[in-house]
Amino acid sequence: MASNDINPLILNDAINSLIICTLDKNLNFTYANQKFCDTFSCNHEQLTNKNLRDFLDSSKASSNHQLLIHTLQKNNIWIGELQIKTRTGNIIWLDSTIKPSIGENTEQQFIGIFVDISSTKELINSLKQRAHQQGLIAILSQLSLNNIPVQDLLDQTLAVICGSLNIKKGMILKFTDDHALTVNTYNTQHCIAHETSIQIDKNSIFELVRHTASPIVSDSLKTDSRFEVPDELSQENSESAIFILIGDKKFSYGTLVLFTDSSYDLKRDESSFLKTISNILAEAINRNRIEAALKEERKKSKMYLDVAKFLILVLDIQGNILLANRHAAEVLGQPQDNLLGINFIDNFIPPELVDKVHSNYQNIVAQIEVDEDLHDIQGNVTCIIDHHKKEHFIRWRSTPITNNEGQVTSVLSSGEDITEMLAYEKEQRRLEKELNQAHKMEAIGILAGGIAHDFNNILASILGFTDLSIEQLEQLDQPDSKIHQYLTHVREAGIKARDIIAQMQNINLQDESISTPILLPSLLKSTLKMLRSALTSSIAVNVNIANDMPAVFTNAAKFNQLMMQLLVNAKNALDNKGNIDISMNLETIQQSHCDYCGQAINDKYVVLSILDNGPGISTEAIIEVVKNTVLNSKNSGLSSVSRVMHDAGGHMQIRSNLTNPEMRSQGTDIRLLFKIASEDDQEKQRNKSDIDLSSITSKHLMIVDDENSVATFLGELFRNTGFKVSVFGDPVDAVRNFENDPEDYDLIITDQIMPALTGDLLASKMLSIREDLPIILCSGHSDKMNAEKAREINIRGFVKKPVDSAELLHLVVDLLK
Amino acid sequence: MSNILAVDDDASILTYIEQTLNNEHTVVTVETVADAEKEIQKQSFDLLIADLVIPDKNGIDMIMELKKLKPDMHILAISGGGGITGRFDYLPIAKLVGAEITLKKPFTIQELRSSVKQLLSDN
Repeated sequence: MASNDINPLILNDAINSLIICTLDKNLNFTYANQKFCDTFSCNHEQLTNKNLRDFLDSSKASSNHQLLIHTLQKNNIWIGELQIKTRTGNIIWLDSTIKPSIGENTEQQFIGIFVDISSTKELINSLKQRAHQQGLIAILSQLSLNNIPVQDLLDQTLAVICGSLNIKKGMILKFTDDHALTVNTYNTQHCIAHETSIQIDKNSIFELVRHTASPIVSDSLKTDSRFEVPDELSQENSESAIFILIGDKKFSYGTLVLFTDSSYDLKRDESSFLKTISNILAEAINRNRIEAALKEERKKSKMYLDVAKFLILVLDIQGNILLANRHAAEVLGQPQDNLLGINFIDNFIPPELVDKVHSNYQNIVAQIEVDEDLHDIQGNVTCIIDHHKKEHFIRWRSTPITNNEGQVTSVLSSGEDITEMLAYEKEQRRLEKELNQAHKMEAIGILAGGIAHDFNNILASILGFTDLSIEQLEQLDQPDSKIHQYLTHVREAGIKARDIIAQMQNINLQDESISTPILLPSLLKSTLKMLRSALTSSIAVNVNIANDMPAVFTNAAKFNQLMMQLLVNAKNALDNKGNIDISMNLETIQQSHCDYCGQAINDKYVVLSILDNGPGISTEAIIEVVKNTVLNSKNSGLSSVSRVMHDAGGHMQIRSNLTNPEMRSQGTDIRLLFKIASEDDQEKQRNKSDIDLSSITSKHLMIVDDENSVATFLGELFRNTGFKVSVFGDPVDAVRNFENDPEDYDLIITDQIMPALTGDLLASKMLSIREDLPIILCSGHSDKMNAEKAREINIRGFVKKPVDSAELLHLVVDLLK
Repeated sequence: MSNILAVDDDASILTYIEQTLNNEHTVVTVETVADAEKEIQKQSFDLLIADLVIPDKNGIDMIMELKKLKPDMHILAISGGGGITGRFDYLPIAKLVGAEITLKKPFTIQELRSSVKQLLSDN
């Protein structure tokens, strides 16, 4: 190849493909080839008198331009990239070589040779920007995964986007139901989070954003014909804006708004950058939302677990505790943390049952594995022992928890502590039984009273006519005849019958509410006489009562029930065959205690012992029986016996050959310790039992009834009987009168239903002045007042209307005693 | 010789009272309170022997009413005690409303005679 030969045509082509110009020393154009003119969008004329400086893009990289000028002024060669603004305003990049040369007229001038590298430059820039954006996306993704607060993530994102796209101001608007809220605003200085509410209309830009995945560019916010831009946005001093949806069709969080001064030519990669960023944001927000909801749910579940009054346990297949709720911890008596990991069966099941429960548990787990349908195991009630060795009865319900392969990994059990419920039911049953018993006794009492009365009437005839017959025989002078003898026998038998009936009536007429000094031997004898028929003849009852027993405190009516209970218990213990020894002695008891209340005993008591020679009962049984924790048909009612004893200041002891080896004979000995009544107590009682009519009838009664006829009748009744009576038709009047001199009255009888003031209120007013005042309330059946309610507010007498005068008189006498 | 009115729902008791007292007194017997009221309107009695549990009226009320009609009449109350309706004894109440002596059934002829004698000798 000839090195110096070049085809002039080729050379010409080469020169024409270059952008060439010459410049004078002031950098004014002196020549430009056609290519130059094309590139700079001007013709030769337009270049005349133009300076290179006029085309340098002053907005960019001015330091580079200064360096160029500086270099040329020093007559050095400039080689570098220049950013040129063409006459039509386009920005182009030129790879430039400008070198000084001495022209023909020795005038300093420059030759410039340029190559248009705009497209390469653009490519490189776009690649750079994309790399930058990808970097940003990676960072934001990382941030969003780190669970930083949504607000902060939005701030960061906004700053990154604005920085990356060289945008001065942006904001994020959050959609709520019918309006949008600005939650983050970014301008070149900083991010601010604040809330301004913007209404969303149907034609609003936001409606469009919500349904558009790609960014929406509005060139003119104020005049965009496609949609309405809210004033709040169009007043942002910006001509145009870009809107990008954060979220998708299912979940739209809000929109990102980027404000630009002039129309922004959003390139494809910028658009996809924005889309990616908004997706990251949407995902992060969504994740955050779900996590918050989950957290809330977890918190709630824990709360449910803790609030539940059920024991909730998760046990692994060996029975180790994996989870225990607060109630379980409370019942088991251990902090929740201490329970985790320990074996439930080993630690909380009574030792004697541990092996059995373990194997049962294994069976349950195995069974579930066999039978897939067994999702719900209805457990029985089991007894557990808590940390403080206290027994609890728990009703369980369990569900297996399986892994993906269907193997049972653990068992979820919920248990209800029914200990108190069982105790309550027991107590309920006991009370019911006692109430039934009390009703029965009352019914029997009333029946016995009626029978006694009728029987006395019959006896009156029998004895009366016997007397008359004997008298007749004596008048006929036949005192020694057989008939006379027979009639005398009839008379004697009749008198015996009368005595028995009298005893029955005495007992029946006793007040059940108080204990009084009583000579126990005679009461015991009459009681045993009555109760003997309750025992079979195969049981021998030996009674041994010491002489000179002092009077003791007891309630005669209840004493009967108590003896009946003890004899029935003894009879049951004997299985209808054996001996019952009843003895009564005066004992000085030292260094002993009551088996019921536990109190130490160091005093003199009249001791009534009921000893059977049955198999005896164990200490545990005694405690159970006395405390009534277990219902035992053979020994029921001992606690009520004990209560009667304690109500009268006495105590109770239980001895059994099983627990007291010093007991010589086999069996159970119930020892009732009666409190001895002093001479004073007996004296008081004697005075009380005699009704001194003259002292009673000097008392002053107040009668209050708004019904004139009733008031008059009652007034008459008591006046005729000798009482001093004041009758009031107006309860308010009555109260006023009472207040004037509360001590003037001894007893009040009042109607309940009165217009101005009801009887119970009247009673309350008077009782607030004089606590001890006896008041009798008369009330009809339909009234809401009853004996119990009256007693609650301290009204001591209650009579149902229509008033039975005998009953009322009896009550008055009773209350005035 | 005094006039005695005896009230009891048990006829045999009335017979017994009559037989015991009719040697010395005139005894009129009735089984109901209504009849007793009628008899009292007809003639005057020195003594009323009243049972306290009579089907047609409470004996206490009866005593009060008859006592109002004849304030001077002596009253002897008799009862088997322990009323049918309540669980209290009527006899002390009878004393309260004007019965001077109360006798619990069954009583002997001696008790009856001496009580009657005591009440009528007061005249």
